[in-house]
Amino acid sequence: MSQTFIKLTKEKYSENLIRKSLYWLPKECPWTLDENDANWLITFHLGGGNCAEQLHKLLNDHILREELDKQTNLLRSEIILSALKKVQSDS
Amino acid sequence: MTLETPLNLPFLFRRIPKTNLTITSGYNGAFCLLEEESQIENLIRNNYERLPQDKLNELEAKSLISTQAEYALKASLHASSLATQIHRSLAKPSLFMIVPTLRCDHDCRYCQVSRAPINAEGKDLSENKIDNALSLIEAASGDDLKIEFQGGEPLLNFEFITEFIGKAKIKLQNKNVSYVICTTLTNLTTEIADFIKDENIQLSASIDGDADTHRHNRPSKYYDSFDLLQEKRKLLAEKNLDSKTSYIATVTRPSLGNAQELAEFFNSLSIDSIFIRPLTPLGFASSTARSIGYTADEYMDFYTEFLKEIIRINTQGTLFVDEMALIHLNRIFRPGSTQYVDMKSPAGLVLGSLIINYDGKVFGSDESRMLWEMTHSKELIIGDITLSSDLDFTHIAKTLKDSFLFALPGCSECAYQPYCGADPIHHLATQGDPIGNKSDSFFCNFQTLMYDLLFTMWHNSDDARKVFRSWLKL
Repeated sequence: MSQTFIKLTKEKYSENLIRKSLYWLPKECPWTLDENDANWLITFHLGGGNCAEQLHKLLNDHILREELDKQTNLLRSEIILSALKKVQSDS
Repeated sequence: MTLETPLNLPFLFRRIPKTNLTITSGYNGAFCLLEEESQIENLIRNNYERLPQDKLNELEAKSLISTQAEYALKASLHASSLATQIHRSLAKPSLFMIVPTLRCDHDCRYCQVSRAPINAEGKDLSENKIDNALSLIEAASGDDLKIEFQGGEPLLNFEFITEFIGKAKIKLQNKNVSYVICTTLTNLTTEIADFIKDENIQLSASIDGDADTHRHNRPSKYYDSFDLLQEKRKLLAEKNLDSKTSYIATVTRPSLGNAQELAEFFNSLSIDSIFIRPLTPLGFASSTARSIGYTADEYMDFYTEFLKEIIRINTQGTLFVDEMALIHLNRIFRPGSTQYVDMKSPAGLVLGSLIINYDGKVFGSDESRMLWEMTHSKELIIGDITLSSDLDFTHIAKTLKDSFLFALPGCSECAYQPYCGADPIHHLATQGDPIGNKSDSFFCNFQTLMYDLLFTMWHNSDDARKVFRSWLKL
């Protein structure tokens, strides 16, 4: 079975985002990740199937999570700090 | 919400496969189901005007988004909710399991390390260890605790149980203690039944299905395991112990195609609930796993049909609770109402339970005990009551520190994080690493598919929602 190659620009996709998306691909989509100066280079060793489609869906959702993280990161830190202070004062 | 632009509060999301639903959930455990695929994108990209007004109202009411005016207040409510969760998860263990004997008269196909032959020597917990066991429990527990006798078959060392409870009444007199015996029932006698009644003990009995299924999964060299179980159930009825007995069923591969029949069989027993569970990957050989095991997807295909049948039975007027579903529903709708050990973050290991083995060794969970039986890894042992009632958490603390879901790869961004738990021993046993790769984890796949199913049924089925509400007493 032929291999499938995907090239994604580093400008648009962080390493964290790429790895989080690859993490959730099923066993039927064995992959390797390589890189050059400008791109992430992903190889699906069994080709075919819908591995590339699944990866793009995962990437899309992780981009949304990154966006939400940017919006709420500071607030999350404040919430956790406040929660820990409450735990400390109650104990 | 129409007068000013809202702001997003922290939330998690997941698109539920094979549906158009997206679940969003917050630190406070509140959730909102979005019905169209584009809605999550519009929500996160702040295109609020493209969301239906009723959905915006729901998101705001559940503190997943906020007006600018209420932003600080809602953040404070999230902090309070998180503080409550942390407090609850760090409470003292409430479940203490004791293995009076490893001996058993069954040869269950999925239990190969938790049993010894019925006449084996050196496999009983000696009565002279009871004082140390009770000292340990007294020191480690809070005001409310459950003591559960497991096995092997605990009724094969009934003398230990009677002496233990006699001494516990004195040693733990200032605590609220309940007792459970997990048993096959096959060694139940009139004398034991009377003791159980007098001491208000609960029984948790195993029944895997109809005669063929039960005999296949739980054979015995000594008798017909199904016929004897039915005989002992009659004794329970005669002693009015039906209401003190709950039933647990373990599913093996041959049952996967019989979901409807299995549900109907359990209903025919005139019991009001069943706890049906998948196999644990610990405790039996890999060759056995091939004949009785399955993937989480295969199990959940079976379980979906099983739960649908249970709901159909309930809609016809019979209250019949699926306890596994109820545990998960409680995690969603009544956080804090269940202390189910598998569903805690940090993990329920030690923080939720302790188990004293037949040889006096103490472990943080039943899975730890089983893994020790398979590997003899000393790091799993946290104490030994043959030596003292002290506990040593040096090694277990290293495992626990990596069991906070909000910091675990694969869990930190999962929408089910507010309802789920960490199971480091499962991942240690199956993947050699307490954190584990969640994309290849039976535990994670099972929990995820379970919540997918329950949220989908809650949203799509009026019957299911009505039945779930009745179980939850909402």
